[in-house]
Amino acid sequence: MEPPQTKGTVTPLASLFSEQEARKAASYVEERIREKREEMNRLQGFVDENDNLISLVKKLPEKLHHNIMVPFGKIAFFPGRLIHTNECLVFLGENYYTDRTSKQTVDVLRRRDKTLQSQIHSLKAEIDDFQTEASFFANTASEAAEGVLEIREEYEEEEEEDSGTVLQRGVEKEASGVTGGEAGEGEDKDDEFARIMSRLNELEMEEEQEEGEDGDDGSVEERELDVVKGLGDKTDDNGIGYEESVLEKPQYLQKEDQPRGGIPQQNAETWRDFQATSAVSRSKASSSVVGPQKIESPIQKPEAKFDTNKAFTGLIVEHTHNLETNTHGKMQPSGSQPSKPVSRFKAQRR
Amino acid sequence: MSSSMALRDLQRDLESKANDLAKIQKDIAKDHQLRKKYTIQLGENELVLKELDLLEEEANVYKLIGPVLVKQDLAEANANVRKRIEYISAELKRVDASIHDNEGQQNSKREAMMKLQQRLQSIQAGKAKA
Repeated sequence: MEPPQTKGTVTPLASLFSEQEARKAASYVEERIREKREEMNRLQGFVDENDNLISLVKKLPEKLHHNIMVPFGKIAFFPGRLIHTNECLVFLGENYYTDRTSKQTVDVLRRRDKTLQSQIHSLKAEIDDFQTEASFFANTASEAAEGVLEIREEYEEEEEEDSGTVLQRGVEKEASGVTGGEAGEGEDKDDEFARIMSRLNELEMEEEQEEGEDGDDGSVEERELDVVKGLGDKTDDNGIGYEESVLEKPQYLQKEDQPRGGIPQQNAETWRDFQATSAVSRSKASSSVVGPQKIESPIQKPEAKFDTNKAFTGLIVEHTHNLETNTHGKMQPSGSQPSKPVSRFKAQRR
Repeated sequence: MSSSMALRDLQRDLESKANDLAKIQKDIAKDHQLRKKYTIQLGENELVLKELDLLEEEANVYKLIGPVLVKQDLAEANANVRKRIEYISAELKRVDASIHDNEGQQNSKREAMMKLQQRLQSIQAGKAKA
Protein backbone atom coordinates (compact mmCIF):
# COMPACT_ATOMS: atom_id res chain seq x y z
CA MET A 1 0.00 0.00 0.00
CA GLU A 2 1.40 3.32 -0.90
CA PRO A 3 1.76 5.86 1.88
CA PRO A 4 -1.08 8.34 1.91
CA GLN A 5 -0.14 11.37 -0.04
CA THR A 6 -1.04 14.24 2.13
CA LYS A 7 -1.76 17.56 0.72
CA GLY A 8 -0.77 20.02 3.31
CA THR A 9 0.93 23.26 4.00
CA VAL A 10 3.72 23.91 6.35
CA THR A 11 4.05 27.48 7.30
CA PRO A 12 6.33 28.92 9.89
CA LEU A 13 4.23 30.70 12.44
CA ALA A 14 6.45 33.68 12.06
CA SER A 15 5.11 34.30 8.60
CA LEU A 16 1.51 34.24 9.68
CA PHE A 17 1.97 36.43 12.70
CA SER A 18 5.13 38.39 12.48
CA GLU A 19 6.81 38.36 15.82
CA GLN A 20 7.19 42.10 15.88
CA GLU A 21 3.54 42.68 15.39
CA ALA A 22 2.63 40.11 17.94
CA ARG A 23 4.83 41.81 20.47
CA LYS A 24 3.43 45.17 19.60
CA ALA A 25 -0.07 43.90 19.99
CA ALA A 26 0.86 42.33 23.30
CA SER A 27 2.31 45.56 24.60
CA TYR A 28 -0.69 47.53 23.41
CA VAL A 29 -3.02 45.23 25.20
CA GLU A 30 -0.90 45.43 28.31
CA GLU A 31 -1.15 49.18 28.16
CA ARG A 32 -4.90 48.93 28.11
CA ILE A 33 -4.74 46.54 31.01
CA ARG A 34 -2.73 49.05 32.99
CA GLU A 35 -5.26 51.75 32.32
CA LYS A 36 -8.08 49.56 33.43
CA ARG A 37 -6.17 48.57 36.53
CA GLU A 38 -5.71 52.20 37.46
CA GLU A 39 -9.36 52.79 36.99
CA MET A 40 -10.11 49.87 39.18
CA ASN A 41 -7.80 51.11 41.89
CA ARG A 42 -9.58 54.42 41.80
CA LEU A 43 -12.91 52.75 42.22
CA GLN A 44 -11.55 50.64 45.00
CA GLY A 45 -10.43 53.81 46.74
CA PHE A 46 -13.98 55.11 46.47
CA VAL A 47 -15.32 51.95 47.97
CA ASP A 48 -12.95 52.23 50.91
CA GLU A 49 -13.87 55.83 51.49
CA ASN A 50 -17.49 54.88 51.36
CA ASP A 51 -17.02 52.25 54.01
CA ASN A 52 -15.26 54.69 56.27
CA LEU A 53 -18.04 57.16 55.80
CA ILE A 54 -20.65 54.60 56.67
CA SER A 55 -18.95 53.71 59.91
CA LEU A 56 -18.52 57.40 60.76
CA VAL A 57 -22.14 58.22 60.08
CA LYS A 58 -23.19 55.28 62.18
CA LYS A 59 -21.15 56.54 65.09
CA LEU A 60 -22.44 60.09 64.98
CA PRO A 61 -25.87 59.69 66.57
CA GLU A 62 -24.37 57.94 69.55
CA LYS A 63 -23.81 61.27 71.26
CA LEU A 64 -25.93 64.37 71.31
CA HIS A 65 -22.93 66.49 70.50
CA HIS A 66 -19.32 65.69 69.81
CA ASN A 67 -16.39 67.87 70.82
CA ILE A 68 -14.15 68.21 67.85
CA MET A 69 -11.44 70.34 66.37
CA VAL A 70 -13.04 72.29 63.60
CA PRO A 71 -10.88 73.08 60.62
CA PHE A 72 -10.65 76.79 59.96
CA GLY A 73 -9.34 77.67 56.57
CA LYS A 74 -6.40 75.67 55.38
CA ILE A 75 -4.08 75.76 58.32
CA ALA A 76 -6.01 76.26 61.51
CA PHE A 77 -8.39 74.49 63.77
CA PHE A 78 -10.41 75.58 66.71
CA PRO A 79 -12.25 73.52 69.25
CA GLY A 80 -15.93 73.23 68.65
CA ARG A 81 -18.95 71.05 68.90
CA LEU A 82 -20.72 68.90 66.43
CA ILE A 83 -24.47 69.19 67.03
CA HIS A 84 -27.59 67.84 65.42
CA THR A 85 -25.70 64.70 65.04
CA ASN A 86 -28.53 62.82 63.45
CA GLU A 87 -28.89 65.11 60.46
CA CYS A 88 -26.77 64.95 57.40
CA LEU A 89 -26.80 66.93 54.21
CA VAL A 90 -26.30 64.28 51.58
CA PHE A 91 -24.94 65.08 48.18
CA LEU A 92 -27.00 63.29 45.54
CA GLY A 93 -25.20 64.40 42.41
CA GLU A 94 -25.79 67.14 39.85
CA ASN A 95 -25.55 69.83 42.51
CA TYR A 96 -28.46 68.44 44.48
CA TYR A 97 -28.38 68.02 48.24
CA THR A 98 -30.87 66.76 50.71
CA ASP A 99 -31.31 66.43 54.45
CA ARG A 100 -31.33 62.91 55.74
CA THR A 101 -31.05 61.15 59.06
CA SER A 102 -28.00 59.08 59.71
CA LYS A 103 -29.86 55.90 59.06
CA GLN A 104 -31.14 57.14 55.75
CA THR A 105 -27.67 58.41 54.94
CA VAL A 106 -26.26 54.98 55.56
CA ASP A 107 -28.83 53.58 53.13
CA VAL A 108 -27.84 56.08 50.49
CA LEU A 109 -24.21 55.24 51.00
CA ARG A 110 -24.91 51.55 50.69
CA ARG A 111 -26.70 52.03 47.42
CA ARG A 112 -23.77 54.01 46.13
CA ASP A 113 -21.53 51.23 47.24
CA LYS A 114 -23.52 48.71 45.22
CA THR A 115 -23.15 50.79 42.08
CA LEU A 116 -19.43 51.06 42.63
CA GLN A 117 -19.14 47.32 43.12
CA SER A 118 -20.95 46.55 39.90
CA GLN A 119 -18.65 48.94 38.08
CA ILE A 120 -15.66 47.22 39.58
CA HIS A 121 -17.01 43.86 38.47
CA SER A 122 -17.37 44.91 34.89
CA LEU A 123 -13.92 46.43 34.95
CA LYS A 124 -12.53 43.20 36.29
CA ALA A 125 -14.17 41.25 33.52
CA GLU A 126 -12.68 43.61 30.97
CA ILE A 127 -9.28 43.24 32.52
CA ASP A 128 -9.56 39.48 32.37
CA ASP A 129 -10.43 39.61 28.71
CA PHE A 130 -7.48 41.81 28.02
CA GLN A 131 -5.29 39.47 30.01
CA THR A 132 -6.20 36.50 27.90
CA GLU A 133 -5.61 38.53 24.77
CA ALA A 134 -2.25 39.65 26.00
CA SER A 135 -1.17 36.15 26.97
CA PHE A 136 -2.25 34.86 23.60
CA PHE A 137 -0.23 37.50 21.84
CA ALA A 138 2.75 36.84 24.02
CA ASN A 139 2.52 33.14 23.31
CA THR A 140 2.26 33.72 19.61
CA ALA A 141 5.22 36.04 19.71
CA SER A 142 7.35 33.54 21.56
CA GLU A 143 6.26 30.73 19.30
CA ALA A 144 7.02 32.76 16.25
CA ALA A 145 10.40 33.54 17.68
CA GLU A 146 11.10 29.88 18.25
CA GLY A 147 10.18 29.06 14.71
CA VAL A 148 7.15 26.98 15.45
CA LEU A 149 5.57 25.77 12.25
CA GLU A 150 1.95 25.60 11.51
CA ILE A 151 1.21 22.42 9.67
CA ARG A 152 -2.07 21.97 7.93
CA GLU A 153 -3.07 18.69 6.46
CA GLU A 154 -6.15 17.57 4.73
CA TYR A 155 -8.05 15.29 6.93
CA GLU A 156 -6.92 11.69 6.49
CA GLU A 157 -8.78 8.57 7.36
CA GLU A 158 -7.13 6.59 10.06
CA GLU A 159 -7.36 2.93 10.79
CA GLU A 160 -8.29 3.02 14.42
CA GLU A 161 -11.26 5.29 14.04
CA ASP A 162 -14.52 3.83 15.18
CA SER A 163 -17.41 3.29 12.87
CA GLY A 164 -19.33 6.42 13.72
CA THR A 165 -16.62 8.69 12.55
CA VAL A 166 -16.04 6.72 9.39
CA LEU A 167 -19.35 7.92 8.13
CA GLN A 168 -18.44 11.45 9.03
CA ARG A 169 -15.25 11.14 7.15
CA GLY A 170 -17.19 9.91 4.25
CA VAL A 171 -18.99 13.20 4.07
CA GLU A 172 -15.86 15.23 4.53
CA LYS A 173 -13.91 13.24 2.04
CA GLU A 174 -16.52 13.70 -0.55
CA ALA A 175 -16.59 17.36 0.11
CA SER A 176 -12.85 17.63 -0.09
CA GLY A 177 -12.67 15.24 -2.95
CA VAL A 178 -14.75 17.56 -5.00
CA THR A 179 -11.99 20.07 -4.82
CA GLY A 180 -9.20 17.58 -5.34
CA GLY A 181 -7.54 17.10 -8.69
CA GLU A 182 -8.68 14.47 -11.04
CA ALA A 183 -5.79 14.51 -13.42
CA GLY A 184 -3.24 11.77 -13.59
CA GLU A 185 -4.85 9.43 -11.17
CA GLY A 186 -6.20 6.91 -13.56
CA GLU A 187 -3.48 4.38 -12.87
CA ASP A 188 -3.84 4.68 -9.14
CA LYS A 189 -7.50 4.08 -9.49
CA ASP A 190 -7.05 0.91 -11.41
CA ASP A 191 -4.75 -0.45 -8.77
CA GLU A 192 -7.15 0.52 -6.12
CA PHE A 193 -9.93 -1.03 -8.03
CA ALA A 194 -8.19 -4.32 -8.06
CA ARG A 195 -7.57 -4.14 -4.38
CA ILE A 196 -11.04 -2.96 -3.60
CA MET A 197 -12.59 -5.68 -5.67
CA SER A 198 -10.53 -8.36 -4.07
CA ARG A 199 -11.52 -7.11 -0.67
CA LEU A 200 -15.11 -7.01 -1.71
CA ASN A 201 -14.88 -10.53 -2.91
CA GLU A 202 -13.60 -11.67 0.44
CA LEU A 203 -16.42 -9.96 2.17
CA GLU A 204 -18.91 -11.44 -0.19
CA MET A 205 -17.65 -14.86 0.70
CA GLU A 206 -18.17 -14.18 4.33
CA GLU A 207 -21.53 -12.81 3.58
CA GLU A 208 -22.63 -15.83 1.64
CA GLN A 209 -21.63 -17.99 4.52
CA GLU A 210 -23.61 -15.94 6.83
CA GLU A 211 -26.67 -16.36 4.62
CA GLY A 212 -27.36 -12.65 4.31
CA GLU A 213 -29.38 -10.79 6.86
CA ASP A 214 -32.10 -8.84 5.27
CA GLY A 215 -33.10 -5.82 7.16
CA ASP A 216 -30.36 -6.18 9.66
CA ASP A 217 -29.09 -2.70 9.69
CA GLY A 218 -26.41 -3.35 12.21
CA SER A 219 -24.53 -6.01 10.39
CA VAL A 220 -25.01 -4.37 7.06
CA GLU A 221 -23.57 -1.21 8.36
CA GLU A 222 -20.76 -3.04 10.00
CA ARG A 223 -19.94 -4.69 6.78
CA GLU A 224 -20.17 -1.45 4.98
CA LEU A 225 -17.87 0.10 7.46
CA ASP A 226 -15.43 -2.77 7.16
CA VAL A 227 -15.43 -2.26 3.47
CA VAL A 228 -14.96 1.42 3.90
CA LYS A 229 -12.21 0.94 6.41
CA GLY A 230 -10.43 -1.45 4.20
CA LEU A 231 -10.78 0.94 1.37
CA GLY A 232 -9.77 3.78 3.55
CA ASP A 233 -6.43 2.17 4.12
CA LYS A 234 -5.82 2.04 0.47
CA THR A 235 -7.17 5.32 -0.57
CA ASP A 236 -5.01 8.32 -0.35
CA ASP A 237 -6.33 11.80 -0.28
CA ASN A 238 -7.88 11.04 -3.57
CA GLY A 239 -11.46 12.00 -3.41
CA ILE A 240 -12.27 9.88 -6.38
CA GLY A 241 -10.87 6.79 -4.78
CA TYR A 242 -13.09 7.23 -1.83
CA GLU A 243 -16.08 7.98 -3.88
CA GLU A 244 -15.56 4.83 -5.74
CA SER A 245 -15.44 2.94 -2.52
CA VAL A 246 -18.64 4.63 -1.52
CA LEU A 247 -20.21 3.77 -4.77
CA GLU A 248 -19.27 0.22 -4.29
CA LYS A 249 -21.30 0.13 -1.19
CA PRO A 250 -24.66 0.27 -2.85
CA GLN A 251 -23.55 -2.66 -4.86
CA TYR A 252 -22.59 -4.42 -1.73
CA LEU A 253 -25.87 -3.60 -0.11
CA GLN A 254 -27.65 -4.99 -3.05
CA LYS A 255 -25.89 -8.22 -2.47
CA GLU A 256 -26.96 -8.14 1.12
CA ASP A 257 -30.51 -7.96 0.03
CA GLN A 258 -30.24 -10.80 -2.35
CA PRO A 259 -28.45 -13.60 -0.67
CA ARG A 260 -28.19 -15.70 -3.66
CA GLY A 261 -25.05 -17.64 -4.13
CA GLY A 262 -23.97 -17.01 -7.61
CA ILE A 263 -25.36 -13.66 -8.31
CA PRO A 264 -23.27 -11.48 -6.08
CA GLN A 265 -20.25 -12.88 -7.76
CA GLN A 266 -21.66 -12.13 -11.10
CA ASN A 267 -22.68 -8.71 -10.06
CA ALA A 268 -19.23 -8.08 -8.86
CA GLU A 269 -17.80 -9.10 -12.18
CA THR A 270 -20.03 -7.00 -14.30
CA TRP A 271 -19.88 -4.16 -11.87
CA ARG A 272 -16.14 -4.20 -11.85
CA ASP A 273 -16.09 -3.89 -15.57
CA PHE A 274 -18.39 -1.00 -15.44
CA GLN A 275 -16.42 0.60 -12.71
CA ALA A 276 -13.24 0.35 -14.66
CA THR A 277 -14.75 1.86 -17.72
CA SER A 278 -16.66 4.52 -15.99
CA ALA A 279 -14.08 5.51 -13.47
CA VAL A 280 -12.16 7.97 -15.52
CA SER A 281 -15.06 9.46 -17.30
CA ARG A 282 -17.21 9.90 -14.30
CA SER A 283 -17.46 13.28 -12.75
CA LYS A 284 -17.56 13.45 -9.06
CA ALA A 285 -20.49 15.72 -8.65
CA SER A 286 -22.74 13.64 -10.75
CA SER A 287 -21.64 10.47 -9.10
CA SER A 288 -22.41 11.76 -5.70
CA VAL A 289 -25.80 12.88 -6.84
CA VAL A 290 -26.33 9.60 -8.50
CA GLY A 291 -25.61 7.92 -5.23
CA PRO A 292 -29.01 7.92 -3.68
CA GLN A 293 -30.54 6.85 -6.88
CA LYS A 294 -28.07 4.06 -7.17
CA ILE A 295 -28.92 2.93 -3.72
CA GLU A 296 -32.48 2.64 -4.67
CA SER A 297 -31.99 0.89 -7.94
CA PRO A 298 -29.95 -1.97 -6.59
CA ILE A 299 -32.77 -2.95 -4.31
CA GLN A 300 -34.33 -4.85 -7.10
CA LYS A 301 -34.32 -8.57 -7.61
CA PRO A 302 -31.68 -10.28 -9.70
CA GLU A 303 -32.98 -8.87 -12.89
CA ALA A 304 -32.28 -5.50 -11.44
CA LYS A 305 -28.63 -6.15 -11.71
CA PHE A 306 -28.91 -4.92 -15.19
CA ASP A 307 -30.37 -1.68 -13.93
CA THR A 308 -27.59 -1.46 -11.43
CA ASN A 309 -25.02 -1.73 -14.11
CA LYS A 310 -26.74 0.88 -16.07
CA ALA A 311 -26.78 3.14 -13.07
CA PHE A 312 -23.11 2.75 -12.62
CA THR A 313 -22.21 4.24 -15.90
CA GLY A 314 -21.25 7.84 -15.98
CA LEU A 315 -24.81 8.78 -16.82
CA ILE A 316 -27.37 9.80 -14.33
CA VAL A 317 -30.16 7.37 -14.95
CA GLU A 318 -33.11 8.24 -12.89
CA HIS A 319 -35.16 5.17 -12.18
CA THR A 320 -38.20 6.94 -10.94
CA HIS A 321 -40.29 3.79 -11.02
CA ASN A 322 -37.83 2.27 -8.64
CA LEU A 323 -38.52 5.03 -6.19
CA GLU A 324 -42.12 4.06 -5.90
CA THR A 325 -41.59 0.37 -5.69
CA ASN A 326 -38.78 0.65 -3.25
CA THR A 327 -40.07 -0.36 0.09
CA HIS A 328 -36.87 -1.27 1.74
CA GLY A 329 -36.68 1.11 4.61
CA LYS A 330 -33.01 1.06 5.17
CA MET A 331 -32.22 1.75 1.59
CA GLN A 332 -34.48 4.69 1.35
CA PRO A 333 -32.75 7.99 1.47
CA SER A 334 -34.71 10.66 3.15
CA GLY A 335 -37.24 11.65 0.53
CA SER A 336 -35.82 14.40 -1.56
CA GLN A 337 -32.64 14.21 -3.51
CA PRO A 338 -29.89 15.76 -1.51
CA SER A 339 -28.61 18.76 -3.31
CA LYS A 340 -25.19 18.39 -1.87
CA PRO A 341 -23.18 15.21 -1.80
CA VAL A 342 -24.36 13.42 1.30
CA SER A 343 -22.69 10.20 2.17
CA ARG A 344 -24.75 7.20 1.26
CA PHE A 345 -24.18 5.90 4.72
CA LYS A 346 -25.89 8.89 6.19
CA ALA A 347 -28.66 8.67 3.71
CA GLN A 348 -29.22 5.09 4.57
CA ARG A 349 -29.00 5.66 8.22
CA ARG A 350 -31.97 7.90 7.96
CA MET B 1 8.04 65.62 -17.94
CA SER B 2 4.36 65.16 -17.73
CA SER B 3 4.71 62.02 -15.73
CA SER B 4 6.69 63.75 -12.99
CA MET B 5 4.12 66.54 -12.97
CA ALA B 6 1.40 63.99 -12.59
CA LEU B 7 3.47 62.43 -9.85
CA ARG B 8 3.74 65.69 -7.97
CA ASP B 9 0.06 66.37 -8.42
CA LEU B 10 -0.75 63.01 -7.03
CA GLN B 11 1.52 63.57 -4.08
CA ARG B 12 -0.04 66.91 -3.32
CA ASP B 13 -3.43 65.33 -3.56
CA LEU B 14 -2.32 62.66 -1.18
CA GLU B 15 -1.09 65.20 1.32
CA SER B 16 -4.28 67.18 1.27
CA LYS B 17 -6.27 64.03 1.72
CA ALA B 18 -4.05 63.04 4.61
CA ASN B 19 -4.70 66.39 6.25
CA ASP B 20 -8.40 66.00 5.84
CA LEU B 21 -8.22 62.56 7.31
CA ALA B 22 -6.28 63.86 10.31
CA LYS B 23 -8.86 66.57 10.87
CA ILE B 24 -11.68 64.13 10.70
CA GLN B 25 -9.94 61.85 13.12
CA LYS B 26 -9.50 64.71 15.55
CA ASP B 27 -13.17 65.48 15.28
CA ILE B 28 -13.99 61.91 15.96
CA ALA B 29 -11.76 61.87 19.02
CA LYS B 30 -13.41 65.02 20.35
CA ASP B 31 -16.82 63.57 19.76
CA HIS B 32 -15.82 60.49 21.64
CA GLN B 33 -14.76 62.57 24.62
CA LEU B 34 -18.00 64.47 24.52
CA ARG B 35 -19.89 61.29 24.34
CA LYS B 36 -18.10 59.94 27.39
CA LYS B 37 -18.89 63.08 29.32
CA TYR B 38 -22.53 62.92 28.41
CA THR B 39 -22.73 59.30 29.33
CA ILE B 40 -21.31 59.97 32.77
CA GLN B 41 -23.67 62.86 33.31
CA LEU B 42 -26.58 60.77 32.27
CA GLY B 43 -25.62 58.08 34.75
CA GLU B 44 -25.29 60.60 37.52
CA ASN B 45 -28.65 62.14 36.82
CA GLU B 46 -30.31 58.82 36.84
CA LEU B 47 -28.81 58.08 40.22
CA VAL B 48 -30.13 61.39 41.53
CA LEU B 49 -33.56 60.60 40.21
CA LYS B 50 -33.51 57.29 41.98
CA GLU B 51 -32.62 58.90 45.28
CA LEU B 52 -35.17 61.63 44.88
CA ASP B 53 -37.83 59.00 44.34
CA LEU B 54 -36.86 57.40 47.60
CA LEU B 55 -37.26 60.67 49.47
CA GLU B 56 -40.44 61.16 51.42
CA GLU B 57 -42.68 64.11 50.68
CA GLU B 58 -41.48 66.80 53.09
CA ALA B 59 -37.80 66.10 52.87
CA ASN B 60 -35.71 69.17 52.10
CA VAL B 61 -33.96 69.26 48.80
CA TYR B 62 -31.33 71.86 48.13
CA LYS B 63 -29.65 72.83 44.93
CA LEU B 64 -26.14 74.22 44.82
CA ILE B 65 -26.16 77.26 42.60
CA GLY B 66 -22.69 78.73 42.70
CA PRO B 67 -21.84 79.29 46.38
CA VAL B 68 -25.48 79.25 47.41
CA LEU B 69 -27.43 76.30 48.62
CA VAL B 70 -31.00 76.98 47.62
CA LYS B 71 -33.92 75.12 49.03
CA GLN B 72 -35.99 73.47 46.37
CA ASP B 73 -39.31 71.77 46.16
CA LEU B 74 -39.17 68.01 45.80
CA ALA B 75 -41.54 68.01 42.85
CA GLU B 76 -39.62 70.81 41.23
CA ALA B 77 -36.35 69.01 41.74
CA ASN B 78 -37.80 65.85 40.25
CA ALA B 79 -39.04 67.69 37.21
CA ASN B 80 -35.70 69.44 36.74
CA VAL B 81 -33.73 66.26 36.97
CA ARG B 82 -36.03 64.54 34.50
CA LYS B 83 -35.74 67.34 32.02
CA ARG B 84 -32.02 67.29 32.35
CA ILE B 85 -31.96 63.60 31.66
CA GLU B 86 -33.95 64.08 28.48
CA TYR B 87 -31.71 66.86 27.35
CA ILE B 88 -28.59 64.85 27.95
CA SER B 89 -29.94 61.81 26.09
CA ALA B 90 -30.83 63.99 23.13
CA GLU B 91 -27.34 65.44 23.12
CA LEU B 92 -25.88 61.97 23.35
CA LYS B 93 -27.85 60.84 20.35
CA ARG B 94 -26.75 63.88 18.41
CA VAL B 95 -23.12 63.24 19.22
CA ASP B 96 -23.52 59.62 18.28
CA ALA B 97 -24.88 60.58 14.90
CA SER B 98 -22.05 63.01 14.34
CA ILE B 99 -19.54 60.33 15.26
CA HIS B 100 -21.18 57.98 12.82
CA ASP B 101 -21.04 60.52 10.02
CA ASN B 102 -17.48 61.37 10.74
CA GLU B 103 -16.49 57.75 10.71
CA GLY B 104 -18.16 57.30 7.38
CA GLN B 105 -16.31 60.28 6.01
CA GLN B 106 -13.11 58.97 7.47
CA ASN B 107 -13.55 55.64 5.74
CA SER B 108 -14.30 57.18 2.40
CA LYS B 109 -11.33 59.50 2.67
CA ARG B 110 -9.15 56.59 3.61
CA GLU B 111 -10.27 54.66 0.58
CA ALA B 112 -9.61 57.61 -1.67
CA MET B 113 -6.19 57.95 -0.16
CA MET B 114 -5.42 54.30 -0.72
CA LYS B 115 -6.46 54.55 -4.32
CA LEU B 116 -4.26 57.56 -4.78
CA GLN B 117 -1.41 55.74 -3.16
CA GLN B 118 -1.86 52.81 -5.45
CA ARG B 119 -1.84 55.05 -8.47
CA LEU B 120 1.24 56.73 -7.19
CA GLN B 121 2.97 53.43 -6.67
CA SER B 122 2.07 52.16 -10.09
CA ILE B 123 3.33 55.34 -11.71
CA GLN B 124 6.54 55.17 -9.75
CA ALA B 125 6.97 51.54 -10.65
CA GLY B 126 6.38 52.46 -14.27
CA LYS B 127 8.94 55.20 -14.07
CA ALA B 128 11.43 52.91 -12.42
CA LYS B 129 11.02 50.38 -15.19
CA ALA B 130 11.38 53.01 -17.90
